[in-house]
Amino acid sequence: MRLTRRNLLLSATGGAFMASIGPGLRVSMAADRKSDEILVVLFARGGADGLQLLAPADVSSYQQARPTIAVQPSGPNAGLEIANGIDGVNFFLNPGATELNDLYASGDLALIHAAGIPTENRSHFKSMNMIERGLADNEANLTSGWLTRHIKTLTADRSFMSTVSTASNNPISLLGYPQAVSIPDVQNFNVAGGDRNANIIAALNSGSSTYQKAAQQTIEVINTVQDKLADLELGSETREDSSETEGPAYTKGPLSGALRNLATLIKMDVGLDVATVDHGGWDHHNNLVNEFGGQISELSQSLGAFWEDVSEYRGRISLVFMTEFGRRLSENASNGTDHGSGSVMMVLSGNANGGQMYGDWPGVGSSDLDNGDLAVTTDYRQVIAEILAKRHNSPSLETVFPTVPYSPLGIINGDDSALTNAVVASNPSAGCTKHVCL
Amino acid sequence: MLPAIPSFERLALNRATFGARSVDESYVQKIGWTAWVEDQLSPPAGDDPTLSRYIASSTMNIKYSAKDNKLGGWGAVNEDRHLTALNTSALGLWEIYRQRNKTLPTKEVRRITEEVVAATWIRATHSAYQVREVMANFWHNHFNVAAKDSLAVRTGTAAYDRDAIRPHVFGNFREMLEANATSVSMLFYLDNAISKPATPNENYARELLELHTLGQEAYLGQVTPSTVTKNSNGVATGFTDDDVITTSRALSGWTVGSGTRMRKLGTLPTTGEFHYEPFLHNTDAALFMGKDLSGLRDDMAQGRAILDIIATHEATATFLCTKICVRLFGDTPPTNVLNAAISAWMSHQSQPDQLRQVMKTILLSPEIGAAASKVRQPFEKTVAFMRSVGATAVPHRSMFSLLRKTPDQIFTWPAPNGHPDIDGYWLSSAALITEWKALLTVLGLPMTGVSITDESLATTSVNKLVEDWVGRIIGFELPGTKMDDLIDFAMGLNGVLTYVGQKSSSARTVENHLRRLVGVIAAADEFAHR
Repeated sequence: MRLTRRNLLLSATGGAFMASIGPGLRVSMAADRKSDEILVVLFARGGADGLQLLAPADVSSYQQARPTIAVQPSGPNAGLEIANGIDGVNFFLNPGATELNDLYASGDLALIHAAGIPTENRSHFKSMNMIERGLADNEANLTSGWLTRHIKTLTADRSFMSTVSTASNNPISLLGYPQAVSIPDVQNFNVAGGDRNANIIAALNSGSSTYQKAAQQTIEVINTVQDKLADLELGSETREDSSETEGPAYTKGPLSGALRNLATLIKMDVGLDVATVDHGGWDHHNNLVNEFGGQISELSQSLGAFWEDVSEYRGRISLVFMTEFGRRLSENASNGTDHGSGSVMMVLSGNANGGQMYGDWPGVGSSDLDNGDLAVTTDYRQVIAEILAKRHNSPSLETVFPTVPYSPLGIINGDDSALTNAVVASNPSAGCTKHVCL
Repeated sequence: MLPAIPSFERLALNRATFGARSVDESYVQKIGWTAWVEDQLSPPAGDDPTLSRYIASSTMNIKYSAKDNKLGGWGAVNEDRHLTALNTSALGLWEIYRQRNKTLPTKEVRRITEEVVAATWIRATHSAYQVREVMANFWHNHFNVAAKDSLAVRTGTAAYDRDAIRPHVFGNFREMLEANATSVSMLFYLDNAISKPATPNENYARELLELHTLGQEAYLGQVTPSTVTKNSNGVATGFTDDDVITTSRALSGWTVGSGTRMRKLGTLPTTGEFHYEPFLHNTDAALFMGKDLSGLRDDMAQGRAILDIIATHEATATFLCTKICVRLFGDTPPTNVLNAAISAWMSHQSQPDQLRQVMKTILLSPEIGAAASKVRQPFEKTVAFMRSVGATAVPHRSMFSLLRKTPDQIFTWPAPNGHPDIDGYWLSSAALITEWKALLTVLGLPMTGVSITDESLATTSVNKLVEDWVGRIIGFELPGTKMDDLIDFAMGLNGVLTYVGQKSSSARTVENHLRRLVGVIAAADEFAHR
């Protein structure tokens, strides 16, 4: 069943509820909110082409630079024009992004263009590595992931299931936080052969090496997951049927798999508050129209289905979509695009000021480009920092992003009064020793 | 009684092979480590005779139904076929690709990669020349090619393994680099095969410099090349984005004889292998890391000049030797071994056995037998387990799915950098769960042939049985209460009690429970490190 605007509006809960509380009550819920809020970081790996995802389709420099692959402003298979663009430019979502268009119109999705990492380099690995450690060019090296640093500023006790990666391994944003658990498939999350095997494996790994600690944690997590999954399945069997007879319209693709998995973990109510999700395959050096079409369709349908699946949790979820860089304005001779710079970030949340775009549009005229690329005018950290401050009561952003002043764009609602030292001190390394933060 | 700590030989063998077996340990103790290393570093061109015969006689099923189409179609197939792709010529492989969806299903293209993966499992488990297998595995990861990328990439994988990687493992890096740059799989994987003169494709050019040779540390971004410091040969100490563009120009025209018609440019011949095509070559390449290439006009001269520069650059020596040492010693390899390796790399740069010299330096360092310092990754751990229990690797589809949740087998890592070779990466819950599942299920899958019942020590004592298996799999006594815990566990298994004569269960139960016992032993911390 396709996600429709009507379904979204009918099942909206969290956002509406929060908005009806007066400011006083909101502040007193702050302490609870720290463990209730769920941050999801969805990373599009490969360099997602922001100019294909959200195109200035009726700008002539855009059309001239992409004669074969440009999103069209009209005609069959035209892009989906959105309201509330920036700087007087008309923006069109890729025609495959129907569900994103609905989410945008519903107010849960905010779009930020020309966002990214202030850097000169165009290397996947270097860019991902920098972004995930929260760095830009010429900044002191940090050997931990930004999520790790954020988690360490939170003082609430963290359960074993607080931080989850839905990929097979933990991303670099969680580097330095071995307690993060990767659960790519919650249904099959157990030790082969059952409890007796689990017990002996635990006994054979009862010591203190990193491997043994990882083993102990794994078995403990397995036990927790199995218990909770059983509770959840029991609950869904006894719940009355809703008017919908089918579940959310996930695809059979990898992102749907990951988000469906994540939705189950959220609904298990195990204290999950940070989740990372990967969506690979965005590196379109060739054949972009066909390949990107598949990617955007998977992204859009999967997010639409996920948002429906977690309808009761929308007021607690902030999902931020990002990528390591965008792609060059001009198409190459293989009908693809090479590595670029600025791209699109998205924020999906029951608390988002969605249905509008954010950022400063630098333009795609030849004198506007950064070495042939859409320039970066919004530092990705500025977007993330606002979410951390307003939804996750981050008390000290300067340990997460030491060089970035707090400057919210208004993308999301929330109370950032817990933030101390909001303005960065003159020493950009405040909170860090030498070149290592936390 | 088991030794309290592992022997030098076991520790060294665990580093240099896909897992020390007791028989290897005794052998090395007899002939000496140095003699063993010398022999390992001079393997025959092909597999050792026993392995060769085994691979030649191995079969793996392929099955598909008939199809009618307007281009010829194909009949139904259900055969236990030999691993014929391994020895098929490049042109023969390309023909399979050309016939896809015409007279052959795409399954036949996938089969090519499947045979290479099966051969990899077999060789890692059984080859007498283990060091070569360990290093072939290393170089495949370093020059990673993702088979999922396309059918064209898959088609080339048999030749990639056979001709671009394996023959060069103890050879010369510059030669290996050109073999890699001219391989069908790499040419398609990183798009150089379709690079055109008007807008050369930068994908391969970038990864050649950043991932294959000079490394990320040497990447300087968009700085102006003239401002970069030069070494004593007048070569820049690092590379810039301009150098990537120059490289993409120099390498345009390095393509595959695919028979493709390139509109307005010409038609490529059909050779199924590397082909240099002048009409695809962009002639604007000029400065590369301070060196002017614009005067080089012979076919492939500019590209080869770049390979010359990067293959002999000190950044490459450091980057590659560090990777090799990390592979063997873990996240923080001993500095003296690393420095000695770099020295050997640089001083043998023009020798045909440069990499043999590097490996010899590393393997004959005293640190090779130091205490275990690296976490075993899923593929090598499963193979080590199979080796230690005497299991035979049998080509079968279950080989491809066993470790699917961890991208740790050949051709499955989805990016050109190859999977990260750092411990922390492999300590996630999912990696551990997948590994344990592999250890506990692999012996029951068609991809292995073994009877643990037959392999077990003939004894009426559970204690002796457990001790014997710990000795074979781990090589020394487990500390603290672990041995007792294992014995308790074993005594709770009816099949084990039957084996030692205390109960009466079926032969199947005996075998299953013995498999379970050896599987959990391999899940211990002591087997997790080498």
